This record gives sequence, structure tokens and C-alpha cells, in this order.
Amino acid sequence: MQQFELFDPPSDAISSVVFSPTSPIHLLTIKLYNVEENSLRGSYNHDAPVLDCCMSVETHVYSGGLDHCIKSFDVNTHNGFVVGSHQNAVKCIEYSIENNLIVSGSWDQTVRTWDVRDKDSQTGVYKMENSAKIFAISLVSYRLVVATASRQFYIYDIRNMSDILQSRESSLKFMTRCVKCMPNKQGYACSSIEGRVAVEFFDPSPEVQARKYAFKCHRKMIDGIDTVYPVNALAFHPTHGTFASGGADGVVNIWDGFNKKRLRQYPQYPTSISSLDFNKDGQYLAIASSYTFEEGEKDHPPDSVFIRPINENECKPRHLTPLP
Amino acid sequence: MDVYSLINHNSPSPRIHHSSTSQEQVNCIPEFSSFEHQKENILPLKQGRSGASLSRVFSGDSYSFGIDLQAGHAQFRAELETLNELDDPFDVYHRYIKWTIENYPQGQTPQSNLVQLLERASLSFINDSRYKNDPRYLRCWLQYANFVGKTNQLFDFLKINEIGINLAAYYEEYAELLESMESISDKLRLPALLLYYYPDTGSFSEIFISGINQKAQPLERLIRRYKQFKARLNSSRQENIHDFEASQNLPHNENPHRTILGIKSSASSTQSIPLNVFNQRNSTLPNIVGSTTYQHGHFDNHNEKFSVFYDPNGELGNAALVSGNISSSWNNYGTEIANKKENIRDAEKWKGITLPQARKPSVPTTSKLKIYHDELRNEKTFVDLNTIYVDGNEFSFEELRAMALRRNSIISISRNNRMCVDNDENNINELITMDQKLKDESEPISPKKLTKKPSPTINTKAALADILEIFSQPMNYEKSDDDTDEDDITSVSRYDKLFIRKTPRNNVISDENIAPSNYSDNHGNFRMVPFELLTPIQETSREYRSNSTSFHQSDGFITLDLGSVTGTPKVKNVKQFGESLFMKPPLLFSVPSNPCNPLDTRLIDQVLSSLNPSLAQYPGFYDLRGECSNNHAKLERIARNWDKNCRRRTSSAINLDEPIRLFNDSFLIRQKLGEGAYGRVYRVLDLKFISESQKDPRASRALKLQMPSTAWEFYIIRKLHERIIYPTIDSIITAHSLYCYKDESYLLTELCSHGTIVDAINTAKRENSTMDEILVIFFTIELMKIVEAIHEAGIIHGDIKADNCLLRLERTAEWDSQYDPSGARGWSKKGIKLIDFGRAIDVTLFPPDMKFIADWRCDDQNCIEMREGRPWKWQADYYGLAGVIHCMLHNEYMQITPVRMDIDSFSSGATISTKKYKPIQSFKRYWQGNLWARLFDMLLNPSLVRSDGRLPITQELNSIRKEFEQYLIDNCEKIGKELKAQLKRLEVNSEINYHG
Repeated sequence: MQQFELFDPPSDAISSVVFSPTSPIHLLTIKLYNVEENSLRGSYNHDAPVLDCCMSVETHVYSGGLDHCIKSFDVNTHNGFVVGSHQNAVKCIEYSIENNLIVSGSWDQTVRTWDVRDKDSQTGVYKMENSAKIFAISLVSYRLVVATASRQFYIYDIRNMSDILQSRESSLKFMTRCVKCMPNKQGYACSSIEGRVAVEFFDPSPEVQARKYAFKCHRKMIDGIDTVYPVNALAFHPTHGTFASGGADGVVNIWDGFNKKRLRQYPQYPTSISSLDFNKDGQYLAIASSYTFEEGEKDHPPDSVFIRPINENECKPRHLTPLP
Repeated sequence: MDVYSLINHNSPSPRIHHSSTSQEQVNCIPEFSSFEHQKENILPLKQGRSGASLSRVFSGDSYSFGIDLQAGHAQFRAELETLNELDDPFDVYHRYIKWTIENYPQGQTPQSNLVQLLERASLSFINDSRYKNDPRYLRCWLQYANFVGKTNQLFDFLKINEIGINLAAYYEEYAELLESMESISDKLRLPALLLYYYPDTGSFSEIFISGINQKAQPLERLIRRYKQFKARLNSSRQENIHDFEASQNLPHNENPHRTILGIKSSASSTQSIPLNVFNQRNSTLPNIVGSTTYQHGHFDNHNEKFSVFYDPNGELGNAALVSGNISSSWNNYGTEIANKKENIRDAEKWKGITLPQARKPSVPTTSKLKIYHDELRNEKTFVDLNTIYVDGNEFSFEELRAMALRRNSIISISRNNRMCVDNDENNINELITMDQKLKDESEPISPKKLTKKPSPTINTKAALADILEIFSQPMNYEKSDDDTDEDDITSVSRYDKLFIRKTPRNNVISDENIAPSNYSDNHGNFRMVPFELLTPIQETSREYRSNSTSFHQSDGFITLDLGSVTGTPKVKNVKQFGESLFMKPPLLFSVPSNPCNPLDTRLIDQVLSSLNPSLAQYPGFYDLRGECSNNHAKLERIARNWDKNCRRRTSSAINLDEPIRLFNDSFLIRQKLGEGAYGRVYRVLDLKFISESQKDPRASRALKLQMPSTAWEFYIIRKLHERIIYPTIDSIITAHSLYCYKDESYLLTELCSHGTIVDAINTAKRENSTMDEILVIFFTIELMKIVEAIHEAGIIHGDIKADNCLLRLERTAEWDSQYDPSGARGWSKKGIKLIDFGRAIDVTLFPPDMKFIADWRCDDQNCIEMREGRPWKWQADYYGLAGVIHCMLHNEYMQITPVRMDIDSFSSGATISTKKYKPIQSFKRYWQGNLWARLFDMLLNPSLVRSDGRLPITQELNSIRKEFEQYLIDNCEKIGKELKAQLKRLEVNSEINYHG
């Protein structure tokens, strides 16, 4: 099956593409698509630019945006309500299957947790220690990684949010763009605006910490100058543990983090990669190619979402090392 | 054998002990302990030393012994001078030597000069036949040789000069020398070299034989020695004999052309050139510079091991080195110094000399191992980091996009408005229809829903509809001030207070010349419509605000800031505004962008023209803007001719009594009091108060001439007098009238005759002191009172400096020496009068969060925000106040320095570092350092005073002023600090007596 582009893509910048965590065929921007049929399942209007979204079940969608609000929407019933609001734009939002919680991070420097079953159901507000805006969060099982401005990372246990498990400075020198936890719950990968990805581990023991590393990527020689692009998106393959990175150069790379090898580089997409996501069983990779405003206001190619079917071996580590 | 036993062994003491038997002598035996401590310093002699003399030398008083030695030397020298008259001249030397050896057990020292003495004695009598065979003379030579080195050359020399050849000692010593050499050569196994040097070594038994043949005396001893020698020789040389014989067959013997210390011309050459041969020098060493003693090889041969000493003037020793050349004319053995001459460096010029360096080790030709360097790659981040990191804040792309989005929506709205409005008149009815029109165009969103929704969307049309809805509400002015605690609907009333154009209470000025309605901006010429006069309401997120300023600034006067309306309305700002003490009736001028330049002439004109009541209704305001005055040159001319001493110049052709007419009033111009960038201040006499005979003290006034004409200062002063109550108002200059012409304006104010704070400081400076602290505290309190008062009145002075603070030291009948902060008992008559409100700002005209930007050139005397180009508000006065106080304390303008402060953040417990400013100058130890430090900290870092950073900090200033006042109350009567006396002295010193 060839890579294909979704019909009727969103007309404005795509901030996030997310596959449903339970059903492998549903993808969300603001609009919900059935990728196998390449059909739009439904859409709803958040009434403000949406910065991130997530799904609990295949039809239940949560979105957070510049209006400070988190909204919930059921695609089937077309029922929507406001889950709650931050004091500033909601930058990122994650759904925790285990806890049936929504975790949202905002530029108002707080992480808030919400009980999705209820309306206006804020269960906790956690202000960042360094009073910095939150740029990205990632959740795996009970582990929550929060990336803030000033290159800081906080690791929480979602069951006990009042204590910070770990507080780290980014191993990258520039602003964090994206953070994603490994599906094996061992660590996370983060990317910066300056063409680098770091792979870090949760376990604070020195042996494990010695394994952390960072590498350069998404660079291009232009007139003899090595131009370094922001790495906007990361996505881990759910079974193989390899990960994809997407940069403002419009390139998607697949990395084997265990062997520190690049597995694939896909042909360049029309514009910056704004978001990436593998579906639940790793058969598809959704690639949002949408200008991410890294150069300010400018004319740019139309926004589009590509769905790339992933072959059995495409994202397998070459020398299969047993997952630690 | 260690030194101790050696000396002990050689010590003569036992001998003395044995030879003496009588009790007397026993008593004279010196104790060994008397010189034991010096035993290392005693040179052993073969014949031993006298214990008595050693004891005398070492145990006695060194000072008196030194004098004795001096005397001894002197005595011998005297004897030596008369040497030629003596029968036995050598005897003098002999005794001198003996004396020296005895008294200087150390041997040769600079004091004993033993070697020089021996040398002199030996060399003086070489040709004296009397002493040829004198054993004393030979002994002298041999002793000399002990110091300069005993060689067979010496014996050759003695032999040639026939010294001691008849004495057995000569032969014994010679044989002993050769024997010791033999043993050395055996030990070193270097027979070749030594044989070269000492060719006779092999046959030293011949020496004894020649001695015996010469019948040297005492012959018997010589024969006995010879026998002992032979016996010794046979036993010791038996085993070495073969080596010795073998050594004589070494190849050098076959190479007679090799010369010792010569230089070979090439490595393969078997011949060498003797370097030290004088007559060969010129041919072989052409490059030698005459005076240079050391010559490093002109052969430039790397194999050269050492440089050979070459004596360019050397006639000494040449023959001695070439061992075959002994001639009978050899009668000069050379002095000790001459024999060591290669050790003496010639004096030479040091200037320009390069010290010889150690030769560089040869560099291997193979290339060095290179250190690996990571290739420096020319890297460039694709993202412009300046847009992401702004003022220490990070902005993600999404935030930047959000800001851009916001900007775009604002622009599109204002475009929309203008297009719609362009064909409309300034009519509120039209506005409503337009509103409707816009609503029709926009998506069908019910207004009700919008008002209820806490977070309206960024959707521009909906938001616009929201605004228009607000605007089309019936305006409820009666509610405007107090009702802030109502819900969403009443938030409309907030707008009422700000959007105050069409008020039924106001006299709407329809004249387009006065109404600020003709402004063009980047987008073309548009006539303003009523709702364009809206105020930006600052309540959405800071990020949007701070980053959309570029838009504001480019546009000059922003018409409508939608961004501020889309957010959740908050009541807080309304409250703040309501707090403002002097809520003015609505004004008719368009509110500029935030921040704005408060001195923008357009803005000021607008403000002044939209006043209600209008400026023309202010008493003392003479609106003469229809005509030109053009009097400034005349004023200046008269003032210049008025002598500095306030006396008229008789020679002047100008009529100094020609009055200047301003409207209906006439003034006599006297001297100029001051001059600034925009105007001059003259002392004038108001003719109104001058009658024929007497002069009313009120006649003296200050007239401030300003070009171009402005009524701003007059307005501010009048406002201050409206808003500030007695007694503080005495501290603000009074403006009697303003004559406002088209080209010039004349502000008539009261005259203070005690000069400014600068004058007071300079008076103190002339006495090499500063103002007394108690006085500074007094003025500081006064200044703080004024600043608090004007800030409460909603006025920022903007230019507080020492020159603008006049001393107010009015005469008063009753004046208690106990300070009273309330102003009672005469204290209200003393203080400061603040002048020059040309840069003042009436903040009540602006929205509460309006900030200002200075467009004038800033220096150290402007507040930090101004200098850094950041928006400011109350900070200007705080900084100015700090500057004045600093001037009074230190006699110097304030310089500040940033310091890092760690502040515990309350929310997270983490410490946050912030920058604070403090004056560079530190306070004197005996000052109230704590009070001053807190005051300066407050004034220089006003935004850190409160946890939320809100300004003004009038209450905090008030509380610290109370502390200063308490200090003054407690201390104003202490001895040496009497405030009243100091003020009186200042009053007398600073009083300016105006004449005429």
C-alpha cells in the first residue's frame, strides 16, 4: 500500500495528529478521519486554534487551544462540552488510559489533570517549579514527563502529582520542541529547535544514566552552510521501540535508538513536519506536513496529512537487541 | 676519616702537652674546647699548628683580635717598604708569611691575602742569587705552589731559574709530586693523556739521582728518601708495569702533528693546529675580534666539544704549554691571576648583547603528530533565535503564531471598520446601523451567548460583534465609578468609563479642528469614527500584549485593540481605575497606543483642547493664541543689561524701565534666573503692585518664557493646586497666570529667593563638606511628601532633580526648635518648592495601565527604564527623588550599579535571581545607613517593593517617611545636630537679595 494523503485536510495549520489509542484506524486533527477508508468521520469546531488534542476511545476527542479551554467532543453523538480551562493557552494534552485522566499542560505554567467522566472536573493543578511555560508533555503508564521553557524537564508519577520524581535540565542546548516517552516505559526522547534529539532514561542510577545520548539530525547543507532545522515531532513505534522524528526541513527519519542507527529517511514532504503519530499497532504513521511558523509569517505550501503504511520490517531495529 | 679526627690528629696540642712539664706551662695549655667550634675552619699544616695561637685566634674577642691583625699587617707593610735597605729582605717576607699562616688558620681568605703574599714573595726574588738556595725561599715557592697548583712546570721553572737545585727539599717534593701523579694515572687508567702532559713521569727516579748528583743538602736525607721511594715503587708498581709499558705504545705517539688543545681542520685529518700559538693566529683565525676573550668556533663545527681559550694578548704561558720549548730565558712563572686568566671575563658592553643560548636540539625532520581537531562546521540554525528568545523569554512557534494570529485579526478588524465606516458620518445612529450591518455579515452568533461565554473566540467577526454590542448598549454613566462587583453584563459599564466620547454630559466639540478626528495612519486616510476612540484594555495574556507592541507603535494611534476584548473580562482593572482619586469627567481625545510618549505635542494639544472645563475658563489663563508676542529678544536684551549684581548699568542705551506688556499687565524685566532647553526664567516686577513710593513684595515674580508656546505646565500646576491640599500645596510652585501667545507663552509664577538645592549643595561644597545629614533628612522628608502628594494627585513630575527643587525658607514669627512633621509651630514654612512641570504627566487622562516611553535623550539622571528604552511610569519620579537625595548626601550625581539578588519565591520555594540596583557610593558609617539603604532600595527598585510589582508605592514611601520623621523628632535638638540652627544658617547663606 502506498503512502496516501488524506482528502479534505484541515484548512489551517495542523498542530497535532493523533491516532486513537484503542482503535487503530482513527486519527484526529480537529477532524476525525478514518484512514483506511480515507474518509472524514466527523469534525467539530473548537472555536479557537487548537494546539493539541487526544482521544480516549475512538470517538471521544479532547482538544485544548488558544482559548485556554479543554473541550470534549463525542464524534458519534456530536455532544461536546468544555472540560475546563487554564489561565492561558493549552499547549498539550494527553489521555491516560490507565487512570482515565486527561493531563493538560499550558503556557500558564501549570499542568492540570481532569477526570474525563465529569464536566468541569479538574482534579489537580500543579504549578511548575521554575514558573516556566509548558511546551510539551508525554505520558506513558504512570510516568508523566513535562518539558517547560528554560530547558527544564520534570518527571511525575501521575498517581502522586504533588511530588516531582525528578527534575532535570535538558541535555540539549536549545528550546525543547517535543518530548515522547518510550513505549517500554524506560525513558523518553526529546527534541529541540536546533536539530538535535536526546534519548534519556528514567532510572537515575549512574549505569542507566550513562546510556543517555543525543544526536544531530535534520540538517541540510545549503551553500556550504550546515543549516539546522527544528525537530518538531517525535513518535515511538508502539512495538519496536524505534522512533520517528520530523523536522522543519520536511523530512521524516526513523531511528533505531538502541543501536543508534538511522533506519529510514522518507522523501521530503512539502513543508515542515508538525506532528507525527504511529497508530496503535504500528501499521501506519500519520505525518502532518504543515508549516510550523518557524520563519514567521510567510507563504507556505498547503497543509496536508499523509498516512504512511509501515511494513513489517520498516521500523524494526536492524540487529534486534532484546528490549532492556 | 672525618674532619674532626683529621684536625684532632694534626692538632699540635698533644705535642705541646708532651714537651711541657712544668706546672706553669700546664696552665698555659689552651683548652681544645676553646677552638673546637672552629675546627672546620682550620687549614691543616704538615708541621701542625700552635694550639696557643689557635686558641688566641678563635677564643679571643674577635673585635680586638681584628685590631691586632690590622696592626700586624700595617707593621709588615711598613717593613716591606724599606725592603731595599735590608740585608736580608726575604726575611721580612718570611716572617710575614709565617705570621699570616699562624693568625689565619683558615688559609687563604680575602683578609689574609696569603696567596698574594706568597706570590709576591716568590716572584720578587727569582733573580736574586742570594736566595737561590735559601731553604726559606724554596719553602715559600712550594707553599705558593700548594695554592696555585703544584705541577712539574713549577719544578721546571725552578730548575731553569736555579732555585733550590741544591736543596734536597726540591728533589723530594718533585719526586713526591710525580709519584702522586703516577698513582692518579694508575687509578684513572689514563696514562696517555698524562704522559702527554707529564712526559717525565716514567723516569722520576732520575730526579732523586740528579739531586744526589747535585749534592743537594741535606744529602743524607735525600738518599734515605730515595731508598724509601725505591722500596715503595717496587712493591706498588709490580702489578701495573705491563699496563704502563703498553700505554707507551699508543697511537698518539705516532702522530706528532696532533697538538694538545688544537683544532683539527677536518674529522679525518690527522693533523691539528695549535690554537694558542701566537704567531699562527692571524693566518688561522682571521675573524677574531681583538678584545674578545671567548671565541666560539669560527669553524662552526657541530662536533666541537668545547671552546678553547684564546688569549689575544697572551704572551704568558705559550712556551709553558709547548713542553719541548723550555728555554733559559724563562724567568717569569706568571701570577696566580695570570694563570687563571681564562676564568676572568673581560669587561664588555652589555648594550645590544645577546646572551648565548643553549644550542637548540636538532629537530627531527619527520613531521609532528597532529592533534585531531573536530572540523569546525559552518552551522546556522534555520530558526531565527532572536524571535524565539526575546528578552530572556522563550516563545515557541505556536506562541509566535498565536501572536501573529492576534495581530492579523486586529488589523483585519480595523480594516473592516474603516471600510464600513468610511461613508458614515460621526453619528451614533449610523454606528448602530453599521453595527447591525456587521452583525449580518458575521456568523449567526447570538449576542447573548457571547456575553455569557467567559472566553470569546478569536474569531474576528464574532469578537467584533461583541465589541459593537457592548458599544451599542445604552450608556449608563451614572454607574460608572463604583459598581464594579457586577457580573458579565455590567462589565459593559467599564467600557463606559473609557469609551467616553458621546456623553450627554459632555459638550461635544464638533469643530473638527479641535476634535482629534483627523488622523491618518499606515492604512491610508480615514476619518475617525466614534468607536475608534476606544481605549485598549489590558487584560489578556501578557505574552500577546508585549509582543504586539510593534503593531501599536507602527500605527501611532491604535484604533481598536480587539485582542484585549476577546479575553475573559476581569474586574480588577476596573477597580484600579475606580481607585484613582481624581476620576476626571470624560475627556475628548483619542487614547494613544500603550506605551506612548507623554510629551507628544499632538497628544498634549489634544488633551488641552478637550479639557472640560476648557482651559480658557481657568483663572489667570490669557488665551492670546491669535496673536504673536515676539518679545523674547527684548526680554533677553534687557536682562543681559541688568548687571549680575542686580544693578542697572548706567551706560546702557536700553531703557531698562521700559515695561513689557503681556495682555493687560505690564512687567519690568530684571535679571535672568535660569535657562533651559525650552525656555528662560526672568525675575520681573509686576507693575500692578508697584506704586509711586513703595514696592509691594508681591511685585517680584518669576516669568517663565517658553518657546514654542505651551499651556501644559500651567495646566499641570493648576491641576495640582486643585487636587492637593494645604499644607503640602505650599511645596508646589504657584502659577499666577499664563499669557499664551501663538509663538511664546509666559508663565508668571511666584519667586523664591533662596535658590535651589543645587545652590545649597554648592555652598556646602565650597566649605569642603556636605550638607549635614539632619538637614538632608529634613529635605528628604519634604521631597517625599511632595512626591507622595503629586502621585496621589495622579501627576508624575517626570523631571525631579536638584535644580528643580527650590528652597522654601520663609520667614516665620513662631518657630519651635522641636521638629513637627505636621507642619505646626512654624515648620510648614520651611521646606521645598517643586518647580518645572514641563515634563509632567497627568495619568488620570490615561488608562490605568498606561505606560510611557521617553523620546528625549537619556542620561544617568534618568531612570533605568528610560535609559533602557523600556516603558515606565512612576519610576521616573522615584529615580529622580533618589537622585536628589544622593546629591545632597554625597555632593555628587548618583551612579547606580546592578546587583544580583536572590529572592525566595513564595509559590515554589525556589530562589529566583533578580537584578536590583543600588547606588555605587556607600553611606558614611555614622549616617542612618539602614534608613537610607532601605529608602534607596525602594526608590531604585520600586517594582520589587510589592510582591505583585504594582506601582505606585506611595504607601510604602509614606511608611518609610514616617521613620525618617521619627528620627528627626528624636534627634533634631541634639547637640551638633540642631535642625533649626542649620536651617537658619542655610537661610542666611542662601538668601538672594534682589535689588531694583
